[in-house]
Amino acid sequence: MKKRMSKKRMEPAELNITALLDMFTMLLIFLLINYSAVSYAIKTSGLIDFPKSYSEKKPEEILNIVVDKYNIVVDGVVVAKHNKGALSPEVIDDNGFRIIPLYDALLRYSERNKYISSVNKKVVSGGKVILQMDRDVPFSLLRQVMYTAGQAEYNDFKFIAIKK
Amino acid sequence: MAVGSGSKRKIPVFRNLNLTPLLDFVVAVIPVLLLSVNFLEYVVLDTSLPVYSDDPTVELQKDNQPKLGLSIAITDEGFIIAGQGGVLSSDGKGTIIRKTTDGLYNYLELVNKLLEIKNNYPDEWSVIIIPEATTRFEDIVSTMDASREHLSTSSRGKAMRKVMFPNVVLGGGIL
Repeated sequence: MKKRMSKKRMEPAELNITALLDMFTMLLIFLLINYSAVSYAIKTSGLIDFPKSYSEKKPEEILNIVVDKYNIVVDGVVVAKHNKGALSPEVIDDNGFRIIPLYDALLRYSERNKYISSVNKKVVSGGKVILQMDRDVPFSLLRQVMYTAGQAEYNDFKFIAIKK
Repeated sequence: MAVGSGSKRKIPVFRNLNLTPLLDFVVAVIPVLLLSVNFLEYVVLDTSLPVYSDDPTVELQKDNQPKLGLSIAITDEGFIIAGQGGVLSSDGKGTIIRKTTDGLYNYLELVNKLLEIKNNYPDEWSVIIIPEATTRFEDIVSTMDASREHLSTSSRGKAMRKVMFPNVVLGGGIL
């Protein structure tokens, strides 16, 4: 009797994974539906709330200027800080519009792009720039950022928004 | 003899299908898809700085009709719609769209007014948006949305888009 009991315990247990597989299959279908093959993804921080828009146009991979709740960032580098849209007077030039550190950063990119396009004719320095802005940023700061970018030969702006 | 030996062969019976390889595959695919999924879809809105020109001929269109020069000012009180080259309403009223009683901008009325203007000036494609210094970026984007196209649904429930003023220029003393 004891021998029979021990033999029974030695048998390998069979785990029923059918339910788990069902769940994974549903998850797989959901992910496949939401899968995006777009090569360019917007990198965002937690310091920015985007506005919403009905636009259908997809973003392209060009220079990014990010204006979040506290900072102005060019291609991942903080160039200036603002307090609810107000900049400190040291970073603005005499006419009150141009943000000096932003202008310097954009000028570097502009010159680098010009050099690349002079070497490689396929690369066009179109003066396009993506503006990622927090929805609460006032127009006064947007105007300064756009003016500064315009001075650095970036005249074509693309605002990022979340699709409604 | 052969028949006899064949009949003795046991036919294997599968009680459970071995799903482990399939599970392995699914577990490997899911992280790849999770990295590629965009739960938020980002879009862009095009705009540019105003262009200044001394040449008076640029103000004329192909048929020598003056451009409307449509502009929408976003103020604390609401929207002010103006046109340099045309009359927007015969009675002179209706160009100021005040905020709603909740203190929100009345985008619905703005769209209706712009649609009326578009019907009167079908060859006009540009609009200048002039916000105040304190206007929030979200309100600017919503105004751009309202002026670019009119969204409606047909009697069959199909979504329809009518392009109104897609060339949006941000003004307001920039240049």
